[in-house]
Amino acid sequence: MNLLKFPTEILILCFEPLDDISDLTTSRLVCRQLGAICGGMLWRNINVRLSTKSLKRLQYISENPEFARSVRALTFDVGLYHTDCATNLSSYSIKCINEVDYALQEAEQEWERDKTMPEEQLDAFVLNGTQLSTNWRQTAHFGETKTLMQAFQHKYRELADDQALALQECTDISKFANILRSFTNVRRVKITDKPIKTKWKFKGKDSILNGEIGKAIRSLRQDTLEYWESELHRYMDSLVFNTDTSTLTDIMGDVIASACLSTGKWIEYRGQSPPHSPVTVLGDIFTALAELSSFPTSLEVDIRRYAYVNIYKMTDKQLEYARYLPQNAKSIHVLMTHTENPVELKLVPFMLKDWEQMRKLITALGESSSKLEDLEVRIDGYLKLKGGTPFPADSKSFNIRWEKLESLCLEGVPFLKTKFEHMVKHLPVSLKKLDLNKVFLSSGSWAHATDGVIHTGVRKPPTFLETPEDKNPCDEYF
Amino acid sequence: MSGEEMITLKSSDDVSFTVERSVAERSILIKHLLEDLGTSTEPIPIPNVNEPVLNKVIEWSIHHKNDPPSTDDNDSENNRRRTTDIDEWDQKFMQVDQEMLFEIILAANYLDIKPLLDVGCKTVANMIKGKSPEEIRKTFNIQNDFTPEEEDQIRRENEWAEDR
Repeated sequence: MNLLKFPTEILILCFEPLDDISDLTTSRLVCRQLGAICGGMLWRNINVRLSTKSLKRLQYISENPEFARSVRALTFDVGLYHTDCATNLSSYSIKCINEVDYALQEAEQEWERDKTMPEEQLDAFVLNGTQLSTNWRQTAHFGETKTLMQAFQHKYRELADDQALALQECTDISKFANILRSFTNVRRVKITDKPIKTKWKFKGKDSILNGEIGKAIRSLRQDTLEYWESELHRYMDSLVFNTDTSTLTDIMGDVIASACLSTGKWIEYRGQSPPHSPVTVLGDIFTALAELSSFPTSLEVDIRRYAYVNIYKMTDKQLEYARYLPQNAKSIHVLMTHTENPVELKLVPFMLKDWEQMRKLITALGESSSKLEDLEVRIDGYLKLKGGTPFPADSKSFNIRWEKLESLCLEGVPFLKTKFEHMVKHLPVSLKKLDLNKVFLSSGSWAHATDGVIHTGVRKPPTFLETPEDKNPCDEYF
Repeated sequence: MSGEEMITLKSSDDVSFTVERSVAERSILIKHLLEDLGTSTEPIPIPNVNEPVLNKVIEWSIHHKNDPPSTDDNDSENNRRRTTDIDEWDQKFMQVDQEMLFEIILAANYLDIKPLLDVGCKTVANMIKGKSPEEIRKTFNIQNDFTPEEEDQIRRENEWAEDR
């Protein structure tokens, strides 16, 4: 029997688990039958970045009706390159150190959780990475591996320049909307400034950078291997360095490159307000998305630095578009973080405006669908003001049509106390999961409504925890 | 020995297997059949599945008879099935020749045993992973029926599919 004798639905099941797009592109080339099956899968999940190539790609897909029809999920990466880092080597070096440290931490946690790598390989990875980050730390002061940093920064600047062009293209809303109109089957939309992980490939003109990464890693390998047991040497030689697939060098190169060049990341200016850019890309995306030929059933907004994407510049009209988009949504997840270092809202006037606008955006998204089954809103990264949260007197709380809601999670969401009590009393009978911890009340206290699962008809009344004056609740929260 | 009701299944080549009802009911097809029939002592014919294959399917069903029912279906797009999550027992179970693997997949499809179908298809996916087109053709004995022009066209499209 031959694989091709399988009915199409089984063949689809065989190719669906391939999560590396290159396996699908390869399989397309095997024969016509597989070409047709895998071709349809290629365009299911489309990531759109703020780069000229990514926008061209979106346009290319939209121009082929068959491809456009097969798109099920659209993810917009609205992360921005930092203009400071593109022009100032020292800023850039500090950024790289932070990012490599962060990438290592993440990799460690990821592997700790999933155990996808042998422990020795993880150790080698972390050791190399730590050394690299130390070297770079010295670079910032002594310029020891300046060439490498310069090569990286050069690439970064290229990407930043390209992004500026892409942003300009995005401002042509009618063109952008026109492209999106050809996608008729989109079910999931995600907007995020968290860099989408990709494998970096260095080609042609990136060879200097590639060479420099290789050199740096080779020297680190020499330095660090001396400290290791012979067993590990053997292991590394056979498993890590001499295999064709993911070698440690690949992985390091990958992490370094994505850490240093990836979008949406920049140095946190401790204690200072985050830098502002003139773009209002989030509002533009919502406006263009209103042209999608289908209403998505799932919407996710994950903005880590909402101050930077300038939510406060969203116009009322753009907010209306944001309200329009999720009207068929069953699942809405909104995660907003102001900055990594929580700041007091009153510090900068625009922040208050931004915060108020963010609240309006979440309300717009949460209120629009009557089919909503799953709602999650988490807000993080701001400190509470003494004497309560800044609410306008006529502040509206959520006015969600609850009939079908099964799961509700609100965290860090500001509420007027009376509205909150009202909401808890009127939770729908369909609710199976409720997490209302750390709801932020206008009276200056935290509300802990219920924890975990509640059963229909068994509603615990909310409890309000008045915060003692001498203890800042944010200490435990953030 | 539990007091569970026993069911007899008969393969296409007339070989009978007697199994606990919970084992037989891993197959949604048989489950519905039993619900319709009520209690019956008659052997249930499985006309599309021969003895060696039915034997393997029963072996799998015995091992997995206490698995919780799979959470379906609306979410399948969100929780994309990943090739890596085949459990160890299933991996060993699937170490059979290609002919048998394909027969198991077809039987699982016919008998409506979704988790077995998934494991079978993931096993095929793992055989595809990381291979070149030529290697895939070799593995599954497939003829390349593209013209060079068609191949070029696909290669050009593929460039757009890659993320960067």
